[in-house]
Amino acid sequence: MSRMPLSTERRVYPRRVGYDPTRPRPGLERTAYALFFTALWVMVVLAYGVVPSVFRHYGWMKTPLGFAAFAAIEAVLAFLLASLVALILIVVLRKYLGKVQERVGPMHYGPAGAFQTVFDALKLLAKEDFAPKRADWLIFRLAPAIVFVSAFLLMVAIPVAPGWLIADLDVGLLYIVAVSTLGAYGVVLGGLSQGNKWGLLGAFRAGAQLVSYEVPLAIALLSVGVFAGSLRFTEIVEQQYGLWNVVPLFLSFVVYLVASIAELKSTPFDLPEAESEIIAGYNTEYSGMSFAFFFLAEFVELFLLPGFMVLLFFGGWHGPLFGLDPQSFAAGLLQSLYFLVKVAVWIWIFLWIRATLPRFRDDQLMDLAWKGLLPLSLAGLMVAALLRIFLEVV
Amino acid sequence: MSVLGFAVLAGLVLAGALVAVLSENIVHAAVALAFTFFFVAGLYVLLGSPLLAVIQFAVNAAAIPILTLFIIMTTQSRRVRPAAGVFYLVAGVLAVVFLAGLWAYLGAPQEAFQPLGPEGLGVRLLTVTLLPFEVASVLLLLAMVGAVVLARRREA
Amino acid sequence: MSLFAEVWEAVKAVATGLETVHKRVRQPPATEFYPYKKPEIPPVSVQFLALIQNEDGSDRCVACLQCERVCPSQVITIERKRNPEGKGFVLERFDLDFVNCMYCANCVEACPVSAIVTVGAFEHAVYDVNLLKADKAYLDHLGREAKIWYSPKFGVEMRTPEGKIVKAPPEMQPGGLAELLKEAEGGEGA
Repeated sequence: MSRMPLSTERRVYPRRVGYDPTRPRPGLERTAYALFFTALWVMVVLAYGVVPSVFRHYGWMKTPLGFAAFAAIEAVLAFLLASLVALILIVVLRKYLGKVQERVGPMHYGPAGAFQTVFDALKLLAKEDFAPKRADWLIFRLAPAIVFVSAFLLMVAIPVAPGWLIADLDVGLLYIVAVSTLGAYGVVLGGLSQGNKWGLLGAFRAGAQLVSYEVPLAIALLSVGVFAGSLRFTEIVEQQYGLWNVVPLFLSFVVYLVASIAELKSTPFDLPEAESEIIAGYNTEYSGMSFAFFFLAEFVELFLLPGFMVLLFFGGWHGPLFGLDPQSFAAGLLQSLYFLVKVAVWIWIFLWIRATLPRFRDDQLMDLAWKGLLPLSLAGLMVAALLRIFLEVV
Repeated sequence: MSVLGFAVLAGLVLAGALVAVLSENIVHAAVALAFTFFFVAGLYVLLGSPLLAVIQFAVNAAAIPILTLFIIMTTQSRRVRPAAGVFYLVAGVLAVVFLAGLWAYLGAPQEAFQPLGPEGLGVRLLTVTLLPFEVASVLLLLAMVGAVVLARRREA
Repeated sequence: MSLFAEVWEAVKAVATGLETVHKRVRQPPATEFYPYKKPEIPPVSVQFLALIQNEDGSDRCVACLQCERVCPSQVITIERKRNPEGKGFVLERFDLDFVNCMYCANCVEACPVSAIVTVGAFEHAVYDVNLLKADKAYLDHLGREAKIWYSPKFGVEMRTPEGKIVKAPPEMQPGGLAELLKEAEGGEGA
């Protein structure tokens, strides 16, 4: 008979990387999270400010080769930005939910768990990307790509400061309506193709929810377009210099807020991936990098939908400029910072709502979309049109 | 450049349409149809009308196939092939119609083509083509009322 | 009009919820920082079993086999021999299979001399199942390491820093605090 090891001999502690959670250093933790925000700012400045400005200044975009180079560089930068956004938002979400639920959240990897997502991503990379035998292989592999591409395409349309944007679309509002529908595609296809009942149920719920909430969302967006008299983001933001759109278009703002939370599939609208009911819904069978793509897209949207909200209702990059020329580079830096801070505040409010409300029931969800939000959004559209006529007459 | 783009996009449109028609798997067919519409939107971009491209994207490529997928999912339907005779008959009639249209188009005098922006399209819809626009909206309203009547729960 | 009242009620309810959640953010976490800060186990709780030795190092156990007899899982194996110097028995072997033990503590209740007791040590997860089969040396080791233990016959006992085994003060005994309170009340009344 072997002897039990003495308790003093086998004191196995969890691994920790460079940071001892028993001796918290609040200064270091705040520095880590501030560095995250700075990195995000730098990436945004690079992707939206420096590279497009350089290409436009030298006129490289006119040649096919220059355009191809621009597209390639922007694709890489946008992918890095998307990864950074997901990296930050995931750990911020986990820390915030932890605090709300009187836990501590991640704490072992990096100061206050700041690098937790990096290690999670490494784990997902190393995992086997498994496809079930009964899955429709082609569509099963296509679905995460479609979801990610839809989030990725939305990043192109977003301006962060005057003249700081990748593509100045004159139909920007319609473009985001069109592209955000693509996300629903990936979700429905992913759930449908995996040959799993939970996936199928999740796909049902996701399809119904996303298609339903797309309608009030689009109408709320278009009411902003009607009020501004343009579908171009830069013009909509310029038009808000007197008064932010949130005051005259309050109805549309409320509709956009609710519908965008539903588009994000976060609580109280997380029926497509309700863990307590249908495992993980449409991504039940996904593992490894495919799962990571779903996750990445979700958190990029958590950055983009508040971003569009800030652009459309909260004056985008407006803020005190201290006498700088609005077109100069320094003013661009400042204005993109204002934009990011506003977006950060709205992300916090989204997370706050997510931490508070319980989940809707299926029929309540549909009731809210078709009987509540759709009439409200139409009323918002009428208000916008009337205000527009009133402003033109006066 | 644009010729090359047209060739690539047209090839992709044809390939997508062929898969949509010939695929045995109905989900594959629906997805191929959606891709075909995407590439058609790309053709609109090449023609210099991003507005039309985005509308094509939003309505034909995104909204309609997703409802199709939803119907497939709800009814768990399989692809039913018509008899070979019917298949060839329909294909022949469509080919004749297409060729006739092409012949009529090539025979007509070519006009300078100027795509409309969002504002121009809106003004045109509500002035020159107001009647067809209203007729179309009444038709859609009728369809919606019909759908509501069909979907209404019958009282026992 | 009732629609607006309903909407107003909903908005108020959501606002209340948001306020409640926001208050929680400032509160310290309710969770324990476990592997770094050990929780304090109450003295009367069945976490693990141990054999207690007397202050001079001799076994308390008299090898009466009561525990072996009452054990519902039959995980205790005792071998004994006659004491060559006097009356009674001495232990040769005392094995306890913690894999199959169900921690009912019947053995603790049955022990006439409070040799087998419940202790608060609880970190016994190991990678090899065979390591959970304890022998007498290990059970003795657990008893020597324990600062405080419990048995129904003697109540809560504790080891002083000098190595003396004493009975714990009444407020640490099961029900002791209530009795103390009762006494105090009675004293006031008289």
